[in-house]
Amino acid sequence: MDTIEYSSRDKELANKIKAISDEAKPEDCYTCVKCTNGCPANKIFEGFAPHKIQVAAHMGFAEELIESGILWYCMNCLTCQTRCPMKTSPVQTISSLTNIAVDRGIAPPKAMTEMIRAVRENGAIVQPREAQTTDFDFLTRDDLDLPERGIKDPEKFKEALKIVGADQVLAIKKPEENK
Amino acid sequence: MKYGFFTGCTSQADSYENEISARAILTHFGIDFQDIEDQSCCGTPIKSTKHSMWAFLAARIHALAKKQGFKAIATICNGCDLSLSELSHELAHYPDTIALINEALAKEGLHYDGPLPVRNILEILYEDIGLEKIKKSVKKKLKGFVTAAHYGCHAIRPKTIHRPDHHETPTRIQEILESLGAKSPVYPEILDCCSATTIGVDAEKALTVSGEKVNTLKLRGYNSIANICPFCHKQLGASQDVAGKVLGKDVKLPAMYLSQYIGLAIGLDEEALGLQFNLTGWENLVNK
Repeated sequence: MDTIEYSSRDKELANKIKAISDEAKPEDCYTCVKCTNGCPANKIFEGFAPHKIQVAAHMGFAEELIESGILWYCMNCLTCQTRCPMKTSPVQTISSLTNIAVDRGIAPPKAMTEMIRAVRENGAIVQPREAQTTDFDFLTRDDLDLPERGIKDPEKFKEALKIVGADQVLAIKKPEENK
Repeated sequence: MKYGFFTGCTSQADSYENEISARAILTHFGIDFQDIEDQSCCGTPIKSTKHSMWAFLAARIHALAKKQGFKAIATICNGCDLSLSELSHELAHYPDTIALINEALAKEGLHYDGPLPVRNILEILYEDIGLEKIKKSVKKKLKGFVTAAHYGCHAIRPKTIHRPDHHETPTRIQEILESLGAKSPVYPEILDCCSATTIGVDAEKALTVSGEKVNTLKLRGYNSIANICPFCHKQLGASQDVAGKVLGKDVKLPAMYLSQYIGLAIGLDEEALGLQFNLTGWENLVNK
Protein backbone atom coordinates (compact mmCIF):
# COMPACT_ATOMS: atom_id res chain seq x y z
CA MET A 1 0.00 0.00 0.00
CA ASP A 2 1.21 3.47 -0.84
CA THR A 3 1.86 5.88 1.96
CA ILE A 4 0.96 9.53 1.72
CA GLU A 5 3.88 11.82 1.14
CA TYR A 6 2.90 14.87 3.17
CA SER A 7 5.68 16.97 1.74
CA SER A 8 3.84 16.77 -1.59
CA ARG A 9 0.85 18.57 -0.12
CA ASP A 10 0.04 21.82 -1.91
CA LYS A 11 -1.15 24.10 0.88
CA GLU A 12 -2.00 26.80 -1.62
CA LEU A 13 -4.26 24.61 -3.76
CA ALA A 14 -7.53 25.77 -2.16
CA ASN A 15 -6.60 29.38 -2.92
CA LYS A 16 -5.60 28.54 -6.46
CA ILE A 17 -9.03 26.97 -7.02
CA LYS A 18 -10.74 29.93 -5.41
CA ALA A 19 -8.91 32.23 -7.79
CA ILE A 20 -10.91 30.58 -10.58
CA SER A 21 -14.18 29.57 -8.91
CA ASP A 22 -15.72 30.56 -5.59
CA GLU A 23 -18.43 27.94 -6.07
CA ALA A 24 -16.08 24.94 -6.04
CA LYS A 25 -15.74 25.00 -2.21
CA PRO A 26 -14.03 21.63 -1.72
CA GLU A 27 -13.53 22.59 1.95
CA ASP A 28 -17.30 22.32 2.56
CA CYS A 29 -17.63 18.75 1.24
CA TYR A 30 -18.58 16.15 3.86
CA THR A 31 -18.41 13.22 1.39
CA CYS A 32 -22.08 12.25 1.36
CA VAL A 33 -21.30 10.85 -2.13
CA LYS A 34 -24.50 12.24 -3.65
CA CYS A 35 -22.39 13.74 -6.45
CA THR A 36 -20.66 10.49 -7.32
CA ASN A 37 -23.95 8.56 -7.19
CA GLY A 38 -25.36 10.79 -9.90
CA CYS A 39 -22.16 11.08 -11.93
CA PRO A 40 -22.32 9.61 -15.47
CA ALA A 41 -18.51 9.65 -15.80
CA ASN A 42 -18.24 7.57 -12.61
CA LYS A 43 -20.31 4.84 -14.27
CA ILE A 44 -17.98 4.47 -17.20
CA PHE A 45 -14.51 5.73 -16.21
CA GLU A 46 -12.94 3.67 -13.48
CA GLY A 47 -11.61 5.74 -10.61
CA PHE A 48 -13.50 8.91 -11.51
CA ALA A 49 -15.33 10.00 -8.35
CA PRO A 50 -16.28 13.66 -7.76
CA HIS A 51 -16.42 13.35 -3.95
CA LYS A 52 -12.89 11.98 -3.88
CA ILE A 53 -11.74 14.84 -6.08
CA GLN A 54 -13.30 17.32 -3.66
CA VAL A 55 -11.49 15.73 -0.70
CA ALA A 56 -8.17 15.54 -2.54
CA ALA A 57 -8.48 19.17 -3.60
CA HIS A 58 -9.32 20.27 -0.04
CA MET A 59 -6.35 18.41 1.38
CA GLY A 60 -4.01 19.72 -1.30
CA PHE A 61 -3.25 16.31 -2.80
CA ALA A 62 -4.34 16.98 -6.35
CA GLU A 63 -0.98 16.31 -7.98
CA GLU A 64 -1.81 12.72 -8.80
CA LEU A 65 -5.20 13.72 -10.20
CA ILE A 66 -3.62 16.38 -12.38
CA GLU A 67 -0.87 14.06 -13.61
CA SER A 68 -3.21 11.16 -14.36
CA GLY A 69 -5.36 13.12 -16.81
CA ILE A 70 -8.48 11.55 -15.28
CA LEU A 71 -10.04 14.99 -14.65
CA TRP A 72 -10.74 15.39 -18.38
CA TYR A 73 -13.28 12.57 -18.17
CA CYS A 74 -15.78 14.91 -16.49
CA MET A 75 -18.83 15.18 -18.77
CA ASN A 76 -19.74 18.60 -17.41
CA CYS A 77 -23.35 17.50 -16.82
CA LEU A 78 -23.47 19.60 -13.62
CA THR A 79 -25.44 16.95 -11.72
CA CYS A 80 -22.89 17.04 -8.88
CA GLN A 81 -23.26 20.79 -8.37
CA THR A 82 -27.04 20.61 -8.64
CA ARG A 83 -27.43 17.82 -6.07
CA CYS A 84 -24.79 18.85 -3.51
CA PRO A 85 -26.49 19.45 -0.15
CA MET A 86 -23.57 21.66 0.90
CA LYS A 87 -23.78 23.84 -2.22
CA THR A 88 -20.27 22.90 -3.28
CA SER A 89 -19.43 22.27 -6.91
CA PRO A 90 -17.21 19.30 -7.75
CA VAL A 91 -17.47 20.19 -11.45
CA GLN A 92 -16.02 23.63 -10.73
CA THR A 93 -13.21 22.05 -8.73
CA ILE A 94 -12.48 19.72 -11.65
CA SER A 95 -12.57 22.54 -14.18
CA SER A 96 -10.34 24.70 -11.95
CA LEU A 97 -7.82 21.87 -11.62
CA THR A 98 -7.64 21.30 -15.39
CA ASN A 99 -7.10 25.05 -15.78
CA ILE A 100 -4.33 24.96 -13.17
CA ALA A 101 -2.72 22.06 -15.04
CA VAL A 102 -2.84 23.92 -18.36
CA ASP A 103 -1.45 27.07 -16.70
CA ARG A 104 1.49 24.96 -15.55
CA GLY A 105 2.15 23.82 -19.10
CA ILE A 106 0.60 20.34 -18.95
CA ALA A 107 -0.98 19.61 -22.33
CA PRO A 108 -4.76 19.14 -22.39
CA PRO A 109 -6.29 16.42 -24.61
CA LYS A 110 -5.60 17.17 -28.26
CA ALA A 111 -9.27 17.94 -29.01
CA MET A 112 -9.21 20.83 -26.50
CA THR A 113 -6.14 22.44 -28.07
CA GLU A 114 -7.58 21.99 -31.55
CA MET A 115 -10.78 23.79 -30.56
CA ILE A 116 -8.76 26.75 -29.30
CA ARG A 117 -6.75 26.75 -32.53
CA ALA A 118 -9.95 26.71 -34.59
CA VAL A 119 -11.51 29.57 -32.59
CA ARG A 120 -8.33 31.58 -33.13
CA GLU A 121 -8.45 30.92 -36.87
CA ASN A 122 -12.13 31.54 -37.63
CA GLY A 123 -14.00 32.25 -34.40
CA ALA A 124 -15.63 28.82 -34.08
CA ILE A 125 -14.52 25.42 -32.74
CA VAL A 126 -15.17 23.83 -36.14
CA GLN A 127 -14.40 24.94 -39.67
CA PRO A 128 -17.37 25.70 -41.93
CA ARG A 129 -17.99 22.62 -44.03
CA GLU A 130 -20.44 20.73 -46.20
CA ALA A 131 -23.19 18.66 -44.63
CA GLN A 132 -24.69 15.58 -46.22
CA THR A 133 -28.37 15.36 -47.13
CA THR A 134 -30.70 12.39 -47.52
CA ASP A 135 -30.26 12.78 -51.29
CA PHE A 136 -26.46 12.49 -50.94
CA ASP A 137 -25.94 16.14 -51.78
CA PHE A 138 -23.30 18.04 -49.86
CA LEU A 139 -24.32 21.59 -48.97
CA THR A 140 -22.65 24.58 -47.31
CA ARG A 141 -24.12 27.57 -45.46
CA ASP A 142 -23.80 29.48 -48.69
CA ASP A 143 -25.82 26.92 -50.66
CA LEU A 144 -28.54 27.26 -48.03
CA ASP A 145 -28.58 31.09 -48.08
CA LEU A 146 -27.65 31.19 -44.40
CA PRO A 147 -25.90 34.38 -43.20
CA GLU A 148 -22.14 34.45 -43.51
CA ARG A 149 -20.06 33.69 -40.43
CA GLY A 150 -16.50 34.53 -39.45
CA ILE A 151 -14.65 37.26 -37.58
CA LYS A 152 -14.75 40.74 -39.13
CA ASP A 153 -11.30 41.75 -37.96
CA PRO A 154 -9.34 38.50 -37.47
CA GLU A 155 -6.09 40.21 -36.51
CA LYS A 156 -7.63 42.25 -33.69
CA PHE A 157 -9.52 39.15 -32.54
CA LYS A 158 -6.23 37.22 -32.36
CA GLU A 159 -4.63 40.03 -30.33
CA ALA A 160 -7.57 39.85 -27.92
CA LEU A 161 -7.27 36.07 -27.61
CA LYS A 162 -3.58 36.40 -26.79
CA ILE A 163 -4.44 38.60 -23.81
CA VAL A 164 -6.81 35.97 -22.41
CA GLY A 165 -4.31 33.14 -22.78
CA ALA A 166 -5.05 31.34 -26.06
CA ASP A 167 -1.45 31.53 -27.25
CA GLN A 168 -0.16 30.11 -23.96
CA VAL A 169 -2.24 26.94 -24.49
CA LEU A 170 -1.21 26.63 -28.13
CA ALA A 171 2.48 26.94 -27.17
CA ILE A 172 2.36 23.91 -24.85
CA LYS A 173 4.49 21.10 -26.23
CA LYS A 174 2.68 17.79 -26.38
CA PRO A 175 4.26 14.86 -24.59
CA GLU A 176 5.47 11.97 -26.75
CA GLU A 177 2.71 9.63 -25.65
CA ASN A 178 -0.73 10.24 -27.06
CA LYS A 179 -2.71 11.53 -24.10
CA MET B 1 -38.52 42.30 -27.42
CA LYS B 2 -35.91 42.30 -30.15
CA TYR B 3 -33.73 39.21 -29.98
CA GLY B 4 -30.14 39.01 -31.15
CA PHE B 5 -29.97 35.57 -32.74
CA PHE B 6 -26.91 33.57 -31.68
CA THR B 7 -26.41 30.35 -33.64
CA GLY B 8 -23.15 29.01 -32.20
CA CYS B 9 -20.31 26.96 -33.69
CA THR B 10 -22.08 23.72 -34.57
CA SER B 11 -24.35 25.52 -37.00
CA GLN B 12 -21.29 26.27 -39.11
CA ALA B 13 -20.39 22.65 -39.59
CA ASP B 14 -22.92 19.91 -39.49
CA SER B 15 -26.01 21.14 -37.66
CA TYR B 16 -27.55 23.33 -40.33
CA GLU B 17 -30.97 21.81 -39.65
CA ASN B 18 -30.97 23.23 -36.13
CA GLU B 19 -30.54 26.77 -37.37
CA ILE B 20 -32.83 26.34 -40.40
CA SER B 21 -35.73 24.92 -38.39
CA ALA B 22 -35.32 27.47 -35.58
CA ARG B 23 -35.43 30.33 -38.09
CA ALA B 24 -38.53 28.82 -39.73
CA ILE B 25 -40.44 28.42 -36.46
CA LEU B 26 -39.46 31.78 -34.94
CA THR B 27 -40.43 33.52 -38.20
CA HIS B 28 -43.71 31.62 -38.48
CA PHE B 29 -44.76 32.74 -34.99
CA GLY B 30 -43.68 36.33 -35.53
CA ILE B 31 -40.78 36.44 -33.07
CA ASP B 32 -38.71 39.59 -33.61
CA PHE B 33 -35.12 38.45 -34.15
CA GLN B 34 -32.03 39.26 -36.17
CA ASP B 35 -28.54 37.74 -36.30
CA ILE B 36 -25.87 39.14 -34.01
CA GLU B 37 -23.19 40.35 -36.43
CA ASP B 38 -19.58 39.19 -36.09
CA GLN B 39 -20.53 36.40 -33.68
CA SER B 40 -17.98 33.82 -32.53
CA CYS B 41 -17.83 30.82 -30.17
CA CYS B 42 -19.71 31.19 -26.83
CA GLY B 43 -16.65 29.92 -24.96
CA THR B 44 -18.15 26.81 -23.37
CA PRO B 45 -15.85 24.21 -24.98
CA ILE B 46 -12.82 26.20 -23.78
CA LYS B 47 -13.92 26.64 -20.15
CA SER B 48 -12.14 23.65 -18.66
CA THR B 49 -8.93 24.49 -20.55
CA LYS B 50 -8.65 28.29 -20.33
CA HIS B 51 -11.13 29.96 -18.01
CA SER B 52 -10.18 33.51 -19.02
CA MET B 53 -10.65 32.70 -22.70
CA TRP B 54 -14.11 31.27 -21.94
CA ALA B 55 -15.06 34.44 -20.06
CA PHE B 56 -13.78 36.62 -22.90
CA LEU B 57 -15.70 34.72 -25.58
CA ALA B 58 -18.96 34.76 -23.59
CA ALA B 59 -18.56 38.46 -22.76
CA ARG B 60 -17.81 39.22 -26.41
CA ILE B 61 -21.27 38.00 -27.44
CA HIS B 62 -22.99 40.13 -24.79
CA ALA B 63 -20.90 43.16 -25.76
CA LEU B 64 -21.66 42.69 -29.48
CA ALA B 65 -25.40 42.18 -28.90
CA LYS B 66 -25.63 45.26 -26.67
CA LYS B 67 -23.68 47.39 -29.11
CA GLN B 68 -25.97 46.27 -31.93
CA GLY B 69 -29.02 47.37 -29.97
CA PHE B 70 -30.59 44.05 -29.02
CA LYS B 71 -32.66 43.68 -25.86
CA ALA B 72 -32.00 39.96 -25.34
CA ILE B 73 -30.08 37.04 -26.85
CA ALA B 74 -31.83 34.01 -28.36
CA THR B 75 -29.86 30.76 -28.34
CA ILE B 76 -30.35 27.41 -30.11
CA CYS B 77 -27.71 25.39 -28.25
CA ASN B 78 -27.72 24.40 -24.58
CA GLY B 79 -23.97 24.92 -24.30
CA CYS B 80 -24.16 28.46 -25.67
CA ASP B 81 -27.18 29.15 -23.53
CA LEU B 82 -25.48 28.14 -20.30
CA SER B 83 -22.23 29.91 -21.12
CA LEU B 84 -23.96 33.23 -21.81
CA SER B 85 -26.33 32.77 -18.84
CA GLU B 86 -23.73 31.88 -16.21
CA LEU B 87 -21.13 34.52 -17.12
CA SER B 88 -22.27 37.33 -14.83
CA HIS B 89 -22.96 34.92 -11.95
CA GLU B 90 -19.51 33.34 -12.22
CA LEU B 91 -17.66 36.62 -12.54
CA ALA B 92 -19.62 38.40 -9.80
CA HIS B 93 -16.68 38.34 -7.38
CA TYR B 94 -13.87 38.50 -9.94
CA PRO B 95 -13.24 42.12 -10.90
CA ASP B 96 -9.71 41.23 -12.08
CA THR B 97 -11.09 38.77 -14.65
CA ILE B 98 -13.60 41.36 -15.86
CA ALA B 99 -10.77 43.89 -16.20
CA LEU B 100 -8.72 41.36 -18.19
CA ILE B 101 -11.55 40.51 -20.59
CA ASN B 102 -12.27 44.20 -21.09
CA GLU B 103 -8.63 44.80 -21.93
CA ALA B 104 -9.02 42.08 -24.60
CA LEU B 105 -12.43 43.31 -25.80
CA ALA B 106 -11.02 46.81 -26.26
CA LYS B 107 -8.89 45.48 -29.14
CA GLU B 108 -12.09 45.16 -31.16
CA GLY B 109 -13.65 48.33 -29.74
CA LEU B 110 -15.96 46.36 -27.44
CA HIS B 111 -16.77 46.61 -23.74
CA TYR B 112 -18.54 44.28 -21.30
CA ASP B 113 -20.61 46.07 -18.66
CA GLY B 114 -23.04 43.31 -17.74
CA PRO B 115 -25.18 40.77 -19.54
CA LEU B 116 -28.34 40.90 -21.63
CA PRO B 117 -31.14 38.45 -20.81
CA VAL B 118 -30.44 35.09 -22.48
CA ARG B 119 -33.32 32.98 -23.78
CA ASN B 120 -33.03 29.39 -24.93
CA ILE B 121 -35.29 28.38 -27.83
CA LEU B 122 -37.22 26.19 -25.39
CA GLU B 123 -38.16 29.25 -23.35
CA ILE B 124 -39.12 31.20 -26.45
CA LEU B 125 -41.32 28.35 -27.64
CA TYR B 126 -42.90 27.72 -24.24
CA GLU B 127 -43.17 31.26 -22.85
CA ASP B 128 -43.13 33.74 -25.75
CA ILE B 129 -45.23 31.62 -28.11
CA GLY B 130 -46.92 29.29 -25.66
CA LEU B 131 -48.72 25.94 -25.83
CA GLU B 132 -52.10 27.43 -26.80
CA LYS B 133 -50.77 29.25 -29.83
CA ILE B 134 -48.76 26.22 -30.94
CA LYS B 135 -51.77 23.93 -30.49
CA LYS B 136 -54.00 26.25 -32.52
CA SER B 137 -51.49 26.26 -35.40
CA VAL B 138 -51.37 22.47 -35.76
CA LYS B 139 -52.56 21.34 -39.19
CA LYS B 140 -51.40 17.74 -39.13
CA LYS B 141 -51.28 16.05 -35.72
CA LEU B 142 -48.19 13.94 -35.05
CA LYS B 143 -50.25 10.76 -34.78
CA GLY B 144 -48.27 7.63 -34.00
CA PHE B 145 -45.25 9.57 -32.69
CA VAL B 146 -43.98 8.21 -29.40
CA THR B 147 -41.18 10.67 -28.85
CA ALA B 148 -38.55 10.65 -26.11
CA ALA B 149 -37.73 14.16 -24.90
CA HIS B 150 -34.02 14.71 -24.34
CA TYR B 151 -33.51 18.04 -22.55
CA GLY B 152 -29.73 18.01 -22.32
CA CYS B 153 -27.84 18.79 -19.12
CA HIS B 154 -27.18 22.46 -19.72
CA ALA B 155 -30.83 23.34 -20.32
CA ILE B 156 -31.80 22.20 -16.84
CA ARG B 157 -28.71 22.50 -14.65
CA PRO B 158 -27.17 23.88 -12.52
CA LYS B 159 -29.96 24.88 -10.18
CA THR B 160 -27.87 27.75 -8.82
CA ILE B 161 -28.88 29.96 -11.79
CA HIS B 162 -32.04 30.33 -13.87
CA ARG B 163 -32.42 27.57 -16.48
CA PRO B 164 -35.09 26.96 -19.14
CA ASP B 165 -36.65 24.03 -17.26
CA HIS B 166 -36.61 22.24 -13.88
CA HIS B 167 -33.37 20.52 -12.86
CA GLU B 168 -34.92 17.20 -11.81
CA THR B 169 -38.39 17.16 -13.36
CA PRO B 170 -38.37 19.03 -16.66
CA THR B 171 -41.64 18.81 -18.66
CA ARG B 172 -41.66 21.54 -21.29
CA ILE B 173 -40.42 19.55 -24.33
CA GLN B 174 -42.97 16.84 -23.53
CA GLU B 175 -45.78 19.39 -23.12
CA ILE B 176 -44.94 20.93 -26.49
CA LEU B 177 -44.75 17.51 -28.20
CA GLU B 178 -48.11 16.54 -26.71
CA SER B 179 -49.67 19.79 -27.89
CA LEU B 180 -48.67 18.63 -31.39
CA GLY B 181 -50.51 15.32 -30.97
CA ALA B 182 -47.46 13.18 -30.20
CA LYS B 183 -47.07 11.02 -27.12
CA SER B 184 -44.08 11.85 -24.94
CA PRO B 185 -44.11 9.90 -21.70
CA VAL B 186 -41.41 10.43 -19.09
CA TYR B 187 -38.72 7.73 -18.72
CA PRO B 188 -36.15 6.88 -16.02
CA GLU B 189 -33.15 8.00 -18.11
CA ILE B 190 -34.64 11.38 -19.04
CA LEU B 191 -31.94 13.32 -17.15
CA ASP B 192 -29.05 11.23 -18.48
CA CYS B 193 -26.19 13.03 -20.18
CA CYS B 194 -25.50 12.40 -23.90
CA SER B 195 -21.74 12.54 -23.10
CA ALA B 196 -20.92 14.72 -26.12
CA THR B 197 -18.46 16.63 -23.96
CA THR B 198 -16.13 13.62 -23.68
CA ILE B 199 -16.21 12.69 -27.36
CA GLY B 200 -12.81 14.36 -27.82
CA VAL B 201 -11.33 12.64 -24.76
CA ASP B 202 -12.51 9.04 -25.21
CA ALA B 203 -14.80 8.63 -28.22
CA GLU B 204 -15.51 4.94 -27.65
CA LYS B 205 -16.75 5.47 -24.09
CA ALA B 206 -18.75 8.57 -25.08
CA LEU B 207 -20.48 6.63 -27.87
CA THR B 208 -21.16 3.76 -25.50
CA VAL B 209 -23.04 6.13 -23.19
CA SER B 210 -25.10 7.71 -25.99
CA GLY B 211 -25.65 4.43 -27.84
CA GLU B 212 -26.94 2.76 -24.68
CA LYS B 213 -29.37 5.62 -24.11
CA VAL B 214 -30.80 5.28 -27.64
CA ASN B 215 -30.93 1.51 -27.25
CA THR B 216 -32.85 1.86 -23.97
CA LEU B 217 -35.32 4.25 -25.61
CA LYS B 218 -35.96 1.71 -28.36
CA LEU B 219 -36.53 -1.04 -25.79
CA ARG B 220 -38.96 1.24 -23.96
CA GLY B 221 -41.05 1.56 -27.12
CA TYR B 222 -40.17 5.06 -28.33
CA ASN B 223 -40.07 5.55 -32.10
CA SER B 224 -38.30 8.94 -32.09
CA ILE B 225 -36.16 11.38 -30.07
CA ALA B 226 -36.56 15.15 -29.70
CA ASN B 227 -33.53 17.33 -29.00
CA ILE B 228 -33.01 21.04 -28.47
CA CYS B 229 -29.19 21.02 -28.37
CA PRO B 230 -26.93 20.34 -31.38
CA PHE B 231 -24.31 18.55 -29.28
CA CYS B 232 -26.92 16.17 -27.85
CA HIS B 233 -28.49 15.82 -31.28
CA LYS B 234 -25.22 14.83 -32.88
CA GLN B 235 -24.48 12.37 -30.12
CA LEU B 236 -27.96 10.79 -30.00
CA GLY B 237 -28.80 11.25 -33.68
CA ALA B 238 -26.10 11.67 -36.31
CA SER B 239 -23.68 9.38 -34.44
CA GLN B 240 -26.14 6.47 -34.21
CA ASP B 241 -24.36 4.47 -36.93
CA VAL B 242 -20.95 4.66 -35.30
CA ALA B 243 -22.41 4.17 -31.80
CA GLY B 244 -24.16 1.06 -33.12
CA LYS B 245 -20.82 -0.27 -34.34
CA VAL B 246 -19.18 0.39 -30.98
CA LEU B 247 -21.97 -1.44 -29.15
CA GLY B 248 -22.61 -4.12 -31.75
CA LYS B 249 -26.32 -3.25 -31.63
CA ASP B 250 -28.80 -1.56 -33.94
CA VAL B 251 -29.37 1.82 -32.33
CA LYS B 252 -31.11 3.50 -35.25
CA LEU B 253 -33.97 5.74 -34.08
CA PRO B 254 -35.31 8.86 -35.84
CA ALA B 255 -33.91 11.97 -34.11
CA MET B 256 -35.15 15.49 -34.82
CA TYR B 257 -35.00 18.91 -33.26
CA LEU B 258 -38.06 20.10 -31.35
CA SER B 259 -38.49 22.89 -33.92
CA GLN B 260 -38.71 20.27 -36.66
CA TYR B 261 -41.51 18.41 -34.86
CA ILE B 262 -43.38 21.70 -34.51
CA GLY B 263 -42.76 22.54 -38.17
CA LEU B 264 -44.09 19.20 -39.37
CA ALA B 265 -47.24 19.57 -37.27
CA ILE B 266 -47.97 23.12 -38.38
CA GLY B 267 -47.50 22.11 -42.01
CA LEU B 268 -44.19 23.70 -42.95
CA ASP B 269 -42.25 22.28 -45.88
CA GLU B 270 -39.79 19.52 -44.98
CA GLU B 271 -36.91 21.27 -46.72
CA ALA B 272 -37.77 24.55 -44.99
CA LEU B 273 -37.18 22.64 -41.74
CA GLY B 274 -33.82 21.30 -42.86
CA LEU B 275 -35.07 17.72 -42.58
CA GLN B 276 -32.90 16.71 -45.53
CA PHE B 277 -29.98 16.88 -43.08
CA ASN B 278 -31.49 14.39 -40.63
CA LEU B 279 -30.09 11.02 -41.61
CA THR B 280 -31.79 8.85 -38.99
CA GLY B 281 -34.87 7.67 -40.86
CA TRP B 282 -37.53 10.26 -39.98
CA GLU B 283 -39.15 9.69 -43.39
CA ASN B 284 -40.65 6.35 -42.33
CA LEU B 285 -42.24 7.97 -39.31
CA VAL B 286 -43.65 10.99 -41.13
CA ASN B 287 -45.02 9.06 -44.09
CA LYS B 288 -46.67 6.36 -42.00
